[in-house]
Amino acid sequence: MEVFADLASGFANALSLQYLLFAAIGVTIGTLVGVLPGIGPAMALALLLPLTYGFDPTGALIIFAGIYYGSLYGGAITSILLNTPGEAGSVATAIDGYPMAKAGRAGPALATAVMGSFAAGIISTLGLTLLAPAVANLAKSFQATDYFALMVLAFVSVTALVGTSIIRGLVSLFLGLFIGLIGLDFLTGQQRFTFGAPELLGGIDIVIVVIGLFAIGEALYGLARLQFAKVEEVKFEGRIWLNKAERRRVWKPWIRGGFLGFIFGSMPTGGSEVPTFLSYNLEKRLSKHPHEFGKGAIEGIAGPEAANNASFSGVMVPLLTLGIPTSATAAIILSAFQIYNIQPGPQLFENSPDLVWTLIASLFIGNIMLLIINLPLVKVWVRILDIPKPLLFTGILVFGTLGVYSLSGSVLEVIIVYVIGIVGFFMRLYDFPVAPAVLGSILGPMMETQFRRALAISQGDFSVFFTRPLTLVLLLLALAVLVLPTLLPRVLPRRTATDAGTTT
Amino acid sequence: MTSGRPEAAPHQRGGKSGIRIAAVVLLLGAAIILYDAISISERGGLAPGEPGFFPMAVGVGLVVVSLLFLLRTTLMQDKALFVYAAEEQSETHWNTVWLVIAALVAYAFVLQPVGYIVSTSLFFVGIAWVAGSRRWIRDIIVAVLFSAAIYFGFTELLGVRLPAGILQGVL
Repeated sequence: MEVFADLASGFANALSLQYLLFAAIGVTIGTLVGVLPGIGPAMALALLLPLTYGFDPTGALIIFAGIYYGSLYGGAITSILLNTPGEAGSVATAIDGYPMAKAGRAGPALATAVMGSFAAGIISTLGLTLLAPAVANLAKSFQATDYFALMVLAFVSVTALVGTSIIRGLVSLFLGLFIGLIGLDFLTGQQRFTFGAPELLGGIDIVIVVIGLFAIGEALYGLARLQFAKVEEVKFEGRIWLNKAERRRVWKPWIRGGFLGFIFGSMPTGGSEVPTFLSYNLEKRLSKHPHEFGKGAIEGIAGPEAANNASFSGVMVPLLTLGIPTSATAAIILSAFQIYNIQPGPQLFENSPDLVWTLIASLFIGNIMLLIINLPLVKVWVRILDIPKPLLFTGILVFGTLGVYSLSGSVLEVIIVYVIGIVGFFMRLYDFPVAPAVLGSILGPMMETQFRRALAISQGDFSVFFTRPLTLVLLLLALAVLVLPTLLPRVLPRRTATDAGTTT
Repeated sequence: MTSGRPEAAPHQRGGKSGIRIAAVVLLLGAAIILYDAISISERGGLAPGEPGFFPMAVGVGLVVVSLLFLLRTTLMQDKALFVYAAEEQSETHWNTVWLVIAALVAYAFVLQPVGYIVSTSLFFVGIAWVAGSRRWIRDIIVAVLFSAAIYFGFTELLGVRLPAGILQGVL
């Protein structure tokens, strides 16, 4: 098949000694940063973005893939040993991982996470290999109205499906959209929301939004709770490898989690929160030991960790083929692309096949590196948790500031990142989801472009949004996602009763 | 506990007042954004396809959802949110929050005139102290080594310019 020939040439590029070294460095730095409590993959990528400035695009992307996988693994370590998941995607891992670690089975829990990530990473990267060229081909026929409808669907699903309240999700989304509008209008050059500051003419970079919301906001949150923190750190000891009974219980959840993660990751819902929780609930339902869930069931780590890793390759499908990032991590990768003047989209596979296939090959390599470098070194990584917490959070603030300052060299942008960080702190305190803000700020301008392009082509005729079947289907789907969660409980009264019993 | 501060006792104010302040601040911010959106529309035009349309939609949308949120904290109270917020607030050490914010602002302003190494070292030691660390010598050594390593790593290896400031002649 043609895709495998392409993939083989990608491997031929990525397997040079230099790129292998980059992948190893990426995985190592990624783990190092990801293992810090409260840091997830999106934040690790945002903080480490400045480190890739000196490399060629392919090298930088390979380091990025390595950092991503490394930080995912680092996040699993903190979820399991400290019960502090760094990102929504590893929340499910902590539910059973932490009890397992407390029962002295931290080693098998981590091994399940790493090997499950590996298995799922291979499944989902194969999925990406097969699906991406097909979607890219299909996407060539996409028109401005289709893109517009896709982004509406992405907004609606991230707002309605993630987080606890649609109102708070919408507040977050609109704040993100506002940030996205700041700067010069792309068609007329008019200033919008610049409040007279010349530094704002170029807009606010997505990296600033992510560093603010995740790094600065999270460090502030961590510092504020430090005085009351009562984290029970579990000491790591005992065996790492799985015994026979454990091996028998984990392989099916790995595979199921891999498929779930890839499928949901590649949809406009994006991100890893939905597939990890679906996987957790699925494993709980299918398990022969449902009573162990919440108390240290190994399937409860195997499934969600696999889904978490697999969702990344899934998210790469809309990112590479349509240029639409559907998660915070994807948004950072898109801005890394933009630094190198690479525009993801249907043309990417034709214009820069080398880059795409080398990147996909490097996802495979990153997975393998993770398995061979990181698993045996787990006792070394755990030592990082001994860093005193005040120094750790201070370090995050310094790195976040450095990331923004090295990007722009402007003090105003440093102030902006702090303001966004303070907003992020209060959003965290009052349970506002941050994902809609991140997506709003990066997809908002894209959506406006497509909307105005569609209207320019149709000469102001709104009917284009309703006469093209694909556009109409996507918009109706968005409406369904928005309405169904509030409507269904009313149609199914029994479910409301049980829900009310559990949530209040 | 390592710090013996008297104000370290949990605040028992409950989640209501804090969240209402947040709702009002949000609404004020939304109003400012809407006001600016109106002036953008006056200059650029409000029709779909003109520069004012999206800012206006965002401004109106933000005001509407802010009002809804304010409603959920006052008339139609979201009980689950109050419980959540009360717990979060009781675990938040507010003095630390305000001191860290003040330190961040100061850091941003002295970064260029004073220079990267000196300002980062001071910031680092200051935040560590605010966060409850009392091991001065360790913190100072870590701070100086950390900021010097970043400075030289970025300027020498990665080619990113960082301000030398008062150490201009020395570095």
